[in-house]
Amino acid sequence: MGTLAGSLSAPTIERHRGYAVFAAGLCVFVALPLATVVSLSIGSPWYSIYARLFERPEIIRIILRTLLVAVITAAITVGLALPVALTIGFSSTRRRLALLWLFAIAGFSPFLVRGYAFVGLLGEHGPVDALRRLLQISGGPLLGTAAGVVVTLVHALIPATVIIITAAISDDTKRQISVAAAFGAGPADRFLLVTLPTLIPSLVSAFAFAFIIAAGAFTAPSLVGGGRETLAVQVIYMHAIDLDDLKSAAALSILLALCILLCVAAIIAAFGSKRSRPGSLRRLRSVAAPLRRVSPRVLGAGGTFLRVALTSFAIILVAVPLVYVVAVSFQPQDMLAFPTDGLSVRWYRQVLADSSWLHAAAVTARIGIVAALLATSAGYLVAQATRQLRPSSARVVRAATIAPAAAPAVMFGVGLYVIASRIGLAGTEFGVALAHALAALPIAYLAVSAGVERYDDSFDRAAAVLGASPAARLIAIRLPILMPSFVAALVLSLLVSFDEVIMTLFMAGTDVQTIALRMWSSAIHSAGPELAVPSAFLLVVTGLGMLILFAQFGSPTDLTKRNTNG
Amino acid sequence: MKSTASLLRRSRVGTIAAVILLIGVAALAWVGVLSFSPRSSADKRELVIVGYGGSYGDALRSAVIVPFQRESNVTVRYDETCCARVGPTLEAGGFAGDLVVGVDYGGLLSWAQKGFLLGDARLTRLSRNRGIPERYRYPGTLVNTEYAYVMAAHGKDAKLPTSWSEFWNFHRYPGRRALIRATPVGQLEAALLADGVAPAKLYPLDVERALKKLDKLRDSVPVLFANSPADLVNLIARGDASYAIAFSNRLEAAKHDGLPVAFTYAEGLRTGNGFGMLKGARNADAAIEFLEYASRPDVAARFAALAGLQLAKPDDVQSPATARADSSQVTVSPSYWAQHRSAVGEQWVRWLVH
Amino acid sequence: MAEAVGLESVRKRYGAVTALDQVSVSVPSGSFAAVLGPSGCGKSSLLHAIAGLVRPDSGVVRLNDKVVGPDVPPESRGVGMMFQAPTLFPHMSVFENVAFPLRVRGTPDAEVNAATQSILQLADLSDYSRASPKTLSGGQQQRVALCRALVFRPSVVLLDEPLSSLDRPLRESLQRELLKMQRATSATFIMVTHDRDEAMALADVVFVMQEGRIEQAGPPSSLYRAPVNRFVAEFFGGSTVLSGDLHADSNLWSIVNADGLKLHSSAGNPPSAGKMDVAIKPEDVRIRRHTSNDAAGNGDCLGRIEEVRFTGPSVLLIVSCPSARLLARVDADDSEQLADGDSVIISVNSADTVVI
Repeated sequence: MGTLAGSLSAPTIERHRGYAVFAAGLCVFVALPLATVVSLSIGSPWYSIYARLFERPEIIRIILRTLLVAVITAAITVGLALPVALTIGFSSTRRRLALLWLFAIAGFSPFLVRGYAFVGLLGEHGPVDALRRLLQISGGPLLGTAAGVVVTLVHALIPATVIIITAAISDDTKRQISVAAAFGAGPADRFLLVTLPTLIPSLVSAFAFAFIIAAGAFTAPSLVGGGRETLAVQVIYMHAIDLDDLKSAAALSILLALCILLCVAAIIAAFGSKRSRPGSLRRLRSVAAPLRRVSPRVLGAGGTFLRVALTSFAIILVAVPLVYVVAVSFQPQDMLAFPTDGLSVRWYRQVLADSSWLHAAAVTARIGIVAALLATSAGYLVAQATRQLRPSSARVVRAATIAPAAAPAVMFGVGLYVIASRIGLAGTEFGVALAHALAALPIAYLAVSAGVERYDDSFDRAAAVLGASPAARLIAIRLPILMPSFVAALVLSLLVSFDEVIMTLFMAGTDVQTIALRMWSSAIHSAGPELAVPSAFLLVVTGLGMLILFAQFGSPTDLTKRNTNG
Repeated sequence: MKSTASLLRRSRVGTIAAVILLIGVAALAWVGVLSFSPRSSADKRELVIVGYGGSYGDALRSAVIVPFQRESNVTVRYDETCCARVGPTLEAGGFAGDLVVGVDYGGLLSWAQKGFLLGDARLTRLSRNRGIPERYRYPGTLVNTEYAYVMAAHGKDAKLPTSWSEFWNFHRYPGRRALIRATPVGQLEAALLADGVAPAKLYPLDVERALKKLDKLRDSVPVLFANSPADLVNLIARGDASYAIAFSNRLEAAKHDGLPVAFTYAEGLRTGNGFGMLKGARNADAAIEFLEYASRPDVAARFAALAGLQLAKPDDVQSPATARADSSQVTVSPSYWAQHRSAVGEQWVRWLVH
Repeated sequence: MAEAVGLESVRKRYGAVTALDQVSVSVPSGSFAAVLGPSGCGKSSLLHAIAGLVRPDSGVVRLNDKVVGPDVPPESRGVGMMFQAPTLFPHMSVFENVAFPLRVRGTPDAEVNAATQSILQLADLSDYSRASPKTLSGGQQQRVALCRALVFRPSVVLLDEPLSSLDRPLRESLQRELLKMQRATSATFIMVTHDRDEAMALADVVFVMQEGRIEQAGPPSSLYRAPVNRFVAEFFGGSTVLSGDLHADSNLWSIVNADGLKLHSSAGNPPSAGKMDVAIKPEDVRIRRHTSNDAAGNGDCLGRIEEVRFTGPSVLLIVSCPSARLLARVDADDSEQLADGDSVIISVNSADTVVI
């Protein structure tokens, strides 16, 4: 009874037209740079630029290859993330936190740092090739190959996919598995008929997420990739920067975004968001059938071995580049080498002596804080709005909020720049902060909405009856209770801001210099060990930030729960 | 409101919230003040120069920028992001910097034709006074140095090919090759020379023939594609590639730093390299002042030596331009590249992914 | 007695559902009122309309003889409230939770401390004042919520099924606590509940609601003794309501229902003639074993026991005679020989019945 009245009485207390108005405004804010890019791609007649692209056979090939690399990357990523998530989901609290911590640092350490680490790791004289020669595997180093790009991307994507899948392993799942075991289901049946079907929605979203990011990747293929494996965003970049052909770049961006969108729609249509469909269950049962003939003990041991082996591999894949970056930052030589000949702090001294790094650090901190604040506030308001809007409008708003994660950053960068330069925001720290807020919006929204969706409005009602005004309710009740989500959103968007390069490149102009930008130009102009210093520094900052976040508010799985399924 | 504040003070979460909010508002205010206060650069006479980093940037800073700032009251900010944002920014009508440095003459020309350069009369006069060769005298530019695309190898005492056709001799010179991904300039010329095209008949480039020759390279040995000129040198120095078509100035600097690289100017493809004055420059006076200083013979010589560049010699004097330069060097045609950058660039993209 | 809360023709509809259908209520000040009804009858909406959490479509709400318009927000109404869940603010200590209403009113610290401490003492919660509410048991949490609703001495306290999620012994002890607190503060309590025993035990006045309407209002004893309709008789009295035909001859009348159960009355005037309903309370139904030498008397009915439900001191029987079902309550001691399927003779003294 209380619940009926509760849901019905909400209007007088929480509903507010302002949230919907804000959400509409935000949709416009996201749509504007996209519209600018569309307008850049319009020739005369309007389709002429696109027609030119279709006349070039390599364009289709590039897009297809990009999508193929993205599919392979997403498949490997999810294949590795699933055993890791199972390990995390079914282990003790302490081990779970430790594992999540490792994956969280890796996930939120700067993309550039990781790409940079892989250049050293995969090269002719890197440890990976040394291992290959030791094992006498034929072939050459992975640097400059599609495989190298895939490895780098998988490394970058595992953490987030692990978190998405882990969030879906609930106590319910565990109970269902025990029930299945009690009814006599063997390890194969338990996995294929219980665990897997309950995880399918999260596996689909993890796959879609990995696919979107991989298809829009720029840093990894630029640093690690070869010639034939030049991917779509690199080609967009080449057109915009090296060929001075912004129109083709814009058209190609739109084309790529459409293809990504179509693929994601196809993925969702193929695997469905419904829990389990009879057809897929039947298929899984037929897979399980021959396995039933194997003794359960052998099967169980085999499954455990496979899970542990894959998990260990994923941990190594994720941890090694991080260790490598810290190790080379202490190396005395001029060139990247591993193992290093002794230890030296010369690169630290060199970086600290360069005042431009310190200046960049101050700028980065300022912009990061403002961007995090903007993204988190916007994320909160959108989360409130989607809670109140009709499901169809809420879907539109949610899509617009997530869009910056799916669209290539070059596109958003150019689009935003064109608008910002018209209103005098280009080349200002505020303009960069605004761009970063946009880049961080998806993750900030996801983190905040996890809390907002679970927030019990009866706290507001209770406070209201007890005499608290709307302002007092917001400040003294709602915000403090939502604090963990807010802190998570703030930290995550701060890290996005620290890491952002491409949009920054355009928005920053010549007047604003962030650490990521400074590192990016260093990486382009001289990939020496001095780059490892800010990288190692950022890793430590990320690690500590994550530690604080975990200590205060538990794991990110708890923070992101709910919205990964919905 | 008072009662609300007192409520907040009483909870730990309230304290955290207050601290976060305070930091946020402070940062917002700071950023706001920095972003919306009127620019002080005009009266501070600040000059923004966009250029490359690495050895080039280091040389420019120590040989030109630092002593220039000592002699004048201009503050120079050197931006190393060259030249990713220059084109799109200028296309959008924004400010990309006052000067651009270290750009190929061909690149400068194509920017000039797009209207991205400022044809200041003082600059034209300066260019003439400093004796810049006719072939490099386009309004809005000051091109007083040259470098070359040359053959490089890993190892201090590596055996070097003596010609481009030798570079394609995979029996005598086995091992990975490194090329640069962003633009085909120089690399197509090298391929044509290797294929037996006479230097005088190089232009207009037979792009298809050049790409076929590069196919032979790619089909015979593994080829790495570097991300930038500096990255190219890194690949060679680390030994990820055994041979490369690389930039002579970067190699000079790497060799100077004691890195294990060897290279030869034999059949090097020379290209002019210099300054351009960008459209929308905020401080044209300071830019001219800077260019006057940078092109002063002593300063230019100091910079060229540090950066591993050669000073551009007048047209009538044939190479050797410097002691190290070789008479077999060929000049890359700036006008060809200014005209065909986009079209050949598209062909290059097609070949890359083919 | 002055009126603490009054509602006049209050209506509230949610789409097709009418939560409040022309509800008029008057609660005397200082009383303990209970609003009783099944789930979905609109009783919570009634409470929320008083609190300002629901905006009525029409009608008038009065608090302490003053009309409170629909736009007056909850925070300006000055009522205390307890909810089904404790809804203690998780980020505040017990003390701060209880002090909350005073703090938002800008009460000086010294007064806040004094008032909060004294009410925590009254509720025997002083030891927990610095604890986090999460560490408390469900019953303790509801006691904290009660303190929070009372600490600012509101003249009206609304209780929205505050005890329904607690187990029975805890519920009974909290019922005593509620009474104690109500007497101590002499505030007007209005409690929503679906538990008739709770309403009877606590309330001075009970409002029985069904489908958005008040069916009957009054002291529990009068509602129990004289239900005005079938719903109140069944829901509040737990009675069986039978329909039958009136037969009257001279000063004797009887009601014979379709199954032949006959109710006699030797005194009093028969109500109107024809079809009518009679409410029979379980404790007024007499049951005796049917043996071969014991024939059913006039008006008695031969029935069968369908179910025997042991409830402690008494036993609740469901008997059929033969198709109508009656609830009967007998002493546990008397029920020992009774079992499912036994044949019994059922008789009801018509003096104990209520004609509706």
